[in-house]
Amino acid sequence: MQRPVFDLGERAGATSRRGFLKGAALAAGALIVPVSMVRQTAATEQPGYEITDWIRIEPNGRTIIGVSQCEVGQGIYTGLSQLVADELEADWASVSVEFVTGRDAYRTAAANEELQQFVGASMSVTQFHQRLRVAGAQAREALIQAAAARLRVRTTQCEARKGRVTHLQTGRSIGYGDLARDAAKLPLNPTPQLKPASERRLIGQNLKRLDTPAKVDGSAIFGIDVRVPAMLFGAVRMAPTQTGKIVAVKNEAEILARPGVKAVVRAPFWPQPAHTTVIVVADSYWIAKQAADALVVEFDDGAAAGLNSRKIMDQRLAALDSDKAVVATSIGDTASILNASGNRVIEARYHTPYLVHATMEPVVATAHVRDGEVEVWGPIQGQDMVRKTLGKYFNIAPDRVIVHTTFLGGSFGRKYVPDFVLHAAVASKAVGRPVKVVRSREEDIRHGYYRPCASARFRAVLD
Amino acid sequence: MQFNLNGRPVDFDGDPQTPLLWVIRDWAQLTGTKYGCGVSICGACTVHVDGEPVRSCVLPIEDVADHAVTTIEGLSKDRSHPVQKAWIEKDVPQCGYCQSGMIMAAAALLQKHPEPTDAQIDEAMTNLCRCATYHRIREAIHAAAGV
Repeated sequence: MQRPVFDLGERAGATSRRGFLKGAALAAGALIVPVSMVRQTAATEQPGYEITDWIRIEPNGRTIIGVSQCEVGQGIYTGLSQLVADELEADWASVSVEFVTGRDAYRTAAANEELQQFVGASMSVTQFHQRLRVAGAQAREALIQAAAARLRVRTTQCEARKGRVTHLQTGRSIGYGDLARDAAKLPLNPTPQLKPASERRLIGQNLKRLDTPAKVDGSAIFGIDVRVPAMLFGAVRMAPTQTGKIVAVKNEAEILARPGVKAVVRAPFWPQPAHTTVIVVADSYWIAKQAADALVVEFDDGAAAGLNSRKIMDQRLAALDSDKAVVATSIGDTASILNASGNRVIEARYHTPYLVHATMEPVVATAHVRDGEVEVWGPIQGQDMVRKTLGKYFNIAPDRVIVHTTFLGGSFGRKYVPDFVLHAAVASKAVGRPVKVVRSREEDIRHGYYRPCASARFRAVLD
Repeated sequence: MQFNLNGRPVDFDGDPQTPLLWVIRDWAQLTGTKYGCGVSICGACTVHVDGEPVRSCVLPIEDVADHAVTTIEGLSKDRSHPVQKAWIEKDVPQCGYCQSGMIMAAAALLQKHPEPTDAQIDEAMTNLCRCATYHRIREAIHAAAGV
């Protein structure tokens, strides 16, 4: 079983690539995991040596591959690991995976925006294929170099296979675990030799998913499963519209008097600055949820008051017949054919609605706001988006926002938007303790960042 | 308020109206059982009470007094339940969030119908999966029945 939450670069930001990763174990250790996992976590907190931004090897040979792309069910946890492990010539049975963040190596170009760590548009394999193969090959070469030096032979006489380097003439071999310390000190070759396709052992294989075991025994940690010391729970009540704001919480004193309720907090709904959300913070989620349901809040719905699906559809239908419609394709002399008398014009209109993502796991995050630093845990699809948003909100540098990525119970793009992380952070700031804010299903559906709607009109003449 | 959780007697002293789901997750800290809808629709919170599948998100804990609750963590110690083995064999999960509930529902189904037909599977498996792993779930239930 892999420890699914891990943060390679964050707390140990100052640790060099060559360093002995004490920080990594500390960052992971800060997360309290369910009883079933505690034993394994303790057992894995051994020193490891970082060979590249993506690869850490422990003295026992356990090879930890960092995955920067969040696992939402698409299988990237396994897919990207295959790319690294193939070039690394790792022993697949010794591989475990950890989510990593906080370094330039994990950032890619987003359309017209600065480089950032994120998942989108089904691009993870395309974007990381070459980068990860190079990382695997760099580490393999460093391990071979370390072995050759130890055995006092040439690197060209050595071969790496299944987590060991072997001197071919004599058959002497050394496991990666014994080589990691030396390999971590070597400079990386910027242009390592990638393996030819004929020598691929993992790429192209339909391997079992590495995350399946944890997902059949309940031990996989999703955002909603995070628990950190001294944590409180939050439930939200939000203005019905995005343009809304809180006018008054009419029964605040009564809510605060409920047993277990710690605070009633006002928060914005990103990216709007106005306070649209009331968060009840309590000793347990159930207490918080009941209190949030009992809130009597007066909201001002703002500019979007009265907007509904019927009105939006009417606007779209009107736009389709206006000059605002964009011509997507036009084949033939369409104007004259369509207008010619006697031609039979077939017309069809197609609509896709605004659609809530309806992830099985509602949006949820845990945050701990401290002096000059924010730490968050959750099902996060855009790690740098979270850093940027919280950095701006709390007026701290983005790299002072420590991000821990859990498994995501579905996302489909929804969990790129950082509104739910901001809610948790604002709640934590208010009470001075870590808070996990769970969006109820009802509020999750009401306040989705809906998939864009579209309407299209097709006209054709058949003869 | 006493009940049996995964073979151990436990004593919950909070609000007796608290749904079993939140007692399991936040009090007992067994987080394999998931919150999905809170209104008994999606099935992500499915556990067994005296061997019967129930949706724990709407079951007040007081109704569980002196009964035996089994969660995904109690189904087996080592993923050795036939349903878990079949789930691994068929690589059923994608995001995985619904799968604890799916596995608990499937395990209960196989108790009742050791070799279920597709129709029986469809009738018993009313849980939702947003990744749409339904086809592999059906395959895995048939595989588990053959174990």
